[in-house]
Amino acid sequence: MRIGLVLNTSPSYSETFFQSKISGLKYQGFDVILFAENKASNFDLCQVKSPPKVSSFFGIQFIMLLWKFFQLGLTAPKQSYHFFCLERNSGRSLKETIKNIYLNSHILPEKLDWLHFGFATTALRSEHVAKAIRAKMGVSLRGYDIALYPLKHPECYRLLWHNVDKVHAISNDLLELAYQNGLNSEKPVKKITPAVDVSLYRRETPISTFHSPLKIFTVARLHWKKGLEYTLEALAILKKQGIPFRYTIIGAGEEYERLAFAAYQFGIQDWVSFKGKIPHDQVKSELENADIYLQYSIQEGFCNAVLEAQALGLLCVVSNAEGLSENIIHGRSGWVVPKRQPRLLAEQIKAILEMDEQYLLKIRTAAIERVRNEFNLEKQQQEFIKFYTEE
Amino acid sequence: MNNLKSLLLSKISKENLINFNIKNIFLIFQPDIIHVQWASHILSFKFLFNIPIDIRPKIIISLRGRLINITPRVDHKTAELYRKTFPIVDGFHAVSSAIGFEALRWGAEENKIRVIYSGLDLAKINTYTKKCWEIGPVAKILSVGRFHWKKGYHLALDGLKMLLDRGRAVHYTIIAPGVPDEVLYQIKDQQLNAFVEIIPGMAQSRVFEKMTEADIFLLPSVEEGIANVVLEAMAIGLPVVSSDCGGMDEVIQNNTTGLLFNTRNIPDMVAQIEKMLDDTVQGREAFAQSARQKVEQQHSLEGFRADFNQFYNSVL
Repeated sequence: MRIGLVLNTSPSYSETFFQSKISGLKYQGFDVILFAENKASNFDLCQVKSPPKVSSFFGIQFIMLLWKFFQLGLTAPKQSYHFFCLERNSGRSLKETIKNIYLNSHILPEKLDWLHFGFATTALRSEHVAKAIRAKMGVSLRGYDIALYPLKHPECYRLLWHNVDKVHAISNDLLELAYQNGLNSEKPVKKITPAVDVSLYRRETPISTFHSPLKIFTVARLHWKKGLEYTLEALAILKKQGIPFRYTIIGAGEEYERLAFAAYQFGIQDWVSFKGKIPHDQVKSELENADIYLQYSIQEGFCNAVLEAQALGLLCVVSNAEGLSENIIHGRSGWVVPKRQPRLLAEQIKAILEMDEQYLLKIRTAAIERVRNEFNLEKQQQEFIKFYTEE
Repeated sequence: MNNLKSLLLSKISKENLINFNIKNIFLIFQPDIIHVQWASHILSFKFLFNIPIDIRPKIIISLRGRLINITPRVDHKTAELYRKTFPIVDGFHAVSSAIGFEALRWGAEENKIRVIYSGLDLAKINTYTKKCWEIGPVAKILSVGRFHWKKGYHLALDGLKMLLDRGRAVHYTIIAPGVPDEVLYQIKDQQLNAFVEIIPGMAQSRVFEKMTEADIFLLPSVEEGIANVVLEAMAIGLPVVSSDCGGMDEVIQNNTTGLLFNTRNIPDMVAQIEKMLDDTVQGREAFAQSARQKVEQQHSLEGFRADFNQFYNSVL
């Protein structure tokens, strides 16, 4: 079976999801080809084909367009014609159709069984390609593309929903959002959650009692959707209640100024450290020192960082944003607190500090076991094989 | 010529070209005073500090909002730049006393700081005067100002949610262009669609009209010098509920010219909005009248011009 995967960029080493998916499929004998605009020089998991460049100079673009159409005439005349008809019948203008033929000219000549779009947004302008090349069409719903993108682009997935053969969602909540955004409930869907390399994410140091000051960690991009401002507010409440802590945020992003200023205004500037982006393996050794791991997001597809934290046996407190409430089972493998309510988050942290050590050990063990059993790479790879092979 | 020579010898970069242009302007016009409107731009005038003090133009910096209140607190490079250059600057124009005080931290000398409150063209606003302070079945809350995190719209929406949960009949309008995903997501997430309207920008006259129609002006900001839009609301007679960030308490005297809440404190924001809503019609009218008087007395255009002329003369 030959599978084409469409992404914006070839997955980097730390993007376990696609790395593992591609290597799992290849291991099972599937032929995988990646269609991505940008390819990292060290990516060698499979063949990569890039879409043609777009020039801002009309003359150059016109020549490139003619050349591509000439090539398609030789390599994929039927597919291109079929694509043209599908586009026009769906109501796309002639100009848009020509543009889309050009943009998809790297996929149209391929013989594939499945064309799988790694994010819903990568399928925009390519909704008819799979049908044109007589492949099945799959799409993954992952977070931003289903929770945020449609806010400013309502109806953007109308053609995608109509043409897709099977939908992959990383959490039930995201699937629910897709239904709200117009996905027909009769379309086949499969939930496959993210996974972690449990052989890598294994604690190497023994668990200690709570440090004083308490060591609290979060791994997150500095972005509003990660809910870090609410997190800082909750920690300011802890400070007022006389609980000393050191809070470390691992991750970089455009909202550093906003968050550093919030920490200052909340009076916890000296208790918060912004580590920036650090290598993946260092993240693990940093996290091993954590007493509590927080992921109090506003919007979250599923969150690999929380899986990794659980695999290390950390006590995790998360918000109920989309996939997070499936990632952690409240009271069993960690705690789930309603989002945007810093007072409740502070109360939960305080409650954990008063919990019996044996009980906390039970939570840590449950988290480790659940990640090992349910979120391991092998299971995820098997699920993907079923995605393509099961009716 | 020396300037051109140094440009040709230096690396071609945007920064060097800007420096070249600024030096040229300086050489051609030979100004007595260089007034740097945004503190961080002082970097482009560093060359002036090498000229003997008796022959170089005087340097004045305006102390405004984020560049004084936020950036140096979280960015060490900016803090270092201010610490090096502020002690040599000849005068500081502060948009509020609070921001003047903040500049002391970065090396500004107290006797060189002059607070000059911004001036409002009251004649332009006079045609838009609020005349009725009675609140209809749904109270109309209004905010105006660009979408930026420091404007605190995410906090205002949390406040709106709390008001609705408490059974208040309110509607919130934001007039600002370019609504970001964060705000759209929050409105959807907290099911506020029916209670929020975002107007992506309108002519100033229409904004003033909207102010006469609203019941409360809300300033949820986490940082401000003194928000001009609050002065406009006060001049029009729209009662203001504002955070106490930056210099806001220099124009909003709590319980007299408006109501203040603790910055970032949503229960307090809600309590102050409710206090304003539950006040009598006469009470709100009294707020409006005191606010108007405050703006007339502290923010007249004439006063602003006179203060600036006097300030420039004092520096020379």
